[in-house]
Amino acid sequence: MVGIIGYGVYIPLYRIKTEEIANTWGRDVDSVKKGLLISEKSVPNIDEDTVTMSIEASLNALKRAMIDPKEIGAIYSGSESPAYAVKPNISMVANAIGMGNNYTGADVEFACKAGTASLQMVMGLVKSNLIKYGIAIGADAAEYSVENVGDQSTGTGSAVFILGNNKNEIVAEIKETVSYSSDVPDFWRRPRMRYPTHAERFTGEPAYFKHTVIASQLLMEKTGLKPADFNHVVFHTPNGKFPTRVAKFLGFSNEQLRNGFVVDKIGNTYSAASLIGLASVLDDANAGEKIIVTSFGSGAGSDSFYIEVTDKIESKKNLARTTKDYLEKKKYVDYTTYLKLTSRIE
Amino acid sequence: MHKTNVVMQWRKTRKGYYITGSKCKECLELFFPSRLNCPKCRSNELEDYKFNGTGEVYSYSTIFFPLAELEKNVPYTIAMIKLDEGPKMTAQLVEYDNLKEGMKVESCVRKVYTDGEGGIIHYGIKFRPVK
Amino acid sequence: MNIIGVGSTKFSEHWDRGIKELIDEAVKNALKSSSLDIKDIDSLYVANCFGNTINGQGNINALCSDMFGINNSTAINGGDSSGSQAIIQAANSIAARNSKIALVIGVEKMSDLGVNEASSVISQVTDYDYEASQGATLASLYAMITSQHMKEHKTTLGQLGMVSVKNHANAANNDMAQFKFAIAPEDIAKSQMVATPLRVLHSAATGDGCCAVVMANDEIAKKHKEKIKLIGHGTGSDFLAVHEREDITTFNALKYASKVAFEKAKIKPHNISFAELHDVFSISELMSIEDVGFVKKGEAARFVEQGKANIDGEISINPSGGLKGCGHPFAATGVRQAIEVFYQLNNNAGKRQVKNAKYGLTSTLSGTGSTAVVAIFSK
Repeated sequence: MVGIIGYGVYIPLYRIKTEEIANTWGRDVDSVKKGLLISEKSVPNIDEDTVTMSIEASLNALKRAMIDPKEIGAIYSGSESPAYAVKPNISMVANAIGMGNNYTGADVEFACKAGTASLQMVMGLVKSNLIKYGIAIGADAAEYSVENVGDQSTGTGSAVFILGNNKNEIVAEIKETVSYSSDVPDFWRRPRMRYPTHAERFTGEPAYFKHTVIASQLLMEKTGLKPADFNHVVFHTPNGKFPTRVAKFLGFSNEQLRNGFVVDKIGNTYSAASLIGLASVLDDANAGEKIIVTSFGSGAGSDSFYIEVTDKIESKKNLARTTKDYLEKKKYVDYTTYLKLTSRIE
Repeated sequence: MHKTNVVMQWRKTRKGYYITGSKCKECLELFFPSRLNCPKCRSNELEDYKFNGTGEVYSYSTIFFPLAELEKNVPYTIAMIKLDEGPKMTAQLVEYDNLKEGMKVESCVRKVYTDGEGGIIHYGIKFRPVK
Repeated sequence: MNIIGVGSTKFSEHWDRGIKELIDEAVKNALKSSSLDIKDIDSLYVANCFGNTINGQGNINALCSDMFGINNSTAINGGDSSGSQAIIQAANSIAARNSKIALVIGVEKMSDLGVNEASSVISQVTDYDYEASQGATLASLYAMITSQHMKEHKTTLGQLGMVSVKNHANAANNDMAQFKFAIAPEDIAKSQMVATPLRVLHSAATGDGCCAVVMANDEIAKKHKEKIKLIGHGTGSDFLAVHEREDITTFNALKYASKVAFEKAKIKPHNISFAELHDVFSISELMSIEDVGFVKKGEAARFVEQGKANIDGEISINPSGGLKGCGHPFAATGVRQAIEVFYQLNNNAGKRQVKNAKYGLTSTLSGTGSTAVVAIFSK
């Protein structure tokens, strides 16, 4: 058995409205909003990065898990924007939350599914009893070159899940996971480049949709469940349109999509996206509810999970700040401030 | 600030990114930062004490003439925070509205400065208003 | 222990001169003033703070020995009060009969660095681990002290400004001052904000300068017409970090140093005719007036406002123009203060002359007051 015993998120304070960016580049605001279904996105403060965000999200997760951090045996962090290219984010996070020295871990990369890849790694270690508890992190302070429309949707945030194998501690059991991967050059970044390159419409059908659909179908096939059996569904959110479309295609309703759908308020948080969506669902979940989460990472692959909520969730939900708390605490910045905070002014 | 102090950063943060001070076993006074000798009763019997990370603003100043390392952060605000447990500490204040003395604050881990683009990142404690 | 001759460069941005050239001029002037030859000097006490960091030259005492051929030389590096500390070291050596005629040099060359780089270097005099590396500048620490002093003792920004106005007015009559011009009260609020609430015109500027004094024992001093006698001194300390002090509106180091100095001198604060105090920021002059013991805590702002600190006031504070008017090349300042005492007590201060000057007091503080040195002189 393996499941979530604690979880937490962090979303920075600042936001920038879609029209603020669109107006600077002479884009038609309505078209952009309709095309992306994003009304505003989160912006990191000048002193924030994936390490600082992961630390706070991890502390929130620990508050819910109520365990001694020294008992955590592994920590994996998925990000496209780690603080260092060489020196893992996890070492600073483990230090900050008091994990001691008896742990393994690594920084993980698989575009936007690095967070769920980390989750699967921790699942393996916990389920096989190699460790008692493990932490999986998805965090990103995503960036696109300023003149590219991709900069309209890049968000910033972190989500952390602590896994365990003790039935009495699990608030949501991860009952099954299935992945579908292939070699697709839909979106990439070479090491010395600051910004990634997007293969435009190629990232849709052959990439996002193909992998998301197949992974989700394989999961449902394996578990014998149908879309209607689930209470909540979470997909990766490169924008608001893609998850809405794939949900419809697979036979899920907007109702099922609702609780995990935060992209319209914070943008695409890349490696954190599907994990923040899951945390948002858990914040309001009830015992017995079934959740399906399918991430997508360019390059490409999807990880699909079948999660069932236990009765332990009720007492844990409000032990730390919820996703809604972070969504509601916000302050808008103008475009110049946005450039200053994201260090784009050279 | 002193450049290339990679080892200094490591010494400073190896006990974690907490607010750690000392408690004197003899006179029970709390101090920040930690000390080897008690400033009140001069005893050498001190133990580590981990502060909660909450407090209030005691005094503050917004800086327009920065340290060279923080030129990109101007203007930034430095404050003396009176921790709930009594001692004060000096740290930057972020994300505030209507800054006033007495404002309740909580600690957070943020980038304090970096040794340039290729240098190490110095993470440390800053404070922000409690929700 | 006496000062029998003094010499100085102007305080300025000496683009064309390095440390050696500054030392050379000041020492030449000091020897001339004491009618002595360099061969008469038996020991050197050299104060310098940033030679290592800014100028790439440490061991400034060895540099001076090299220049003047004097064997016995000591370096003093203790922040802003280094100059005063060097005078004390020379005095102690003379009192212990290890020196007969000592040359004290305070030198600093800071203008080679830009403003922000200089800020970073200067932050060395604060608590590195818990103030400087948290982003605090020296100005911001004094700024918080100012806010607290305004809160607890009702000192106003207007009163703070009067310190700068007075010191500039005095400096206008001082040839060696870097800022030899008067300012008007309105100029202060128009100057740039440094760290709220302190503005540029509340803050002493750093620069280049060298000051030198020749010190001698009583026997040798008898033969000199112009001299001043060191009758008492004290050194005090306080927590490095401002946040560790219970009352941040008091310089505990200065209270202690002052107490010891007055005890040794066997006089009281009200006997002092004039005092050179450490106005690195306007607030530190006000706090020094209180903590040396001229007025009660909280009363200094009113004291200055009522003109009692003017040249013709009750006790002239910073008749030279202070750090604000003269400029503050760190290690030179303490020696510069002693030079002003020399002029004043020998009736040689021209338009700055304090009438009936009998006892003069100097005081410097390192950083935010972690070290304080007080010296009291008589005719």
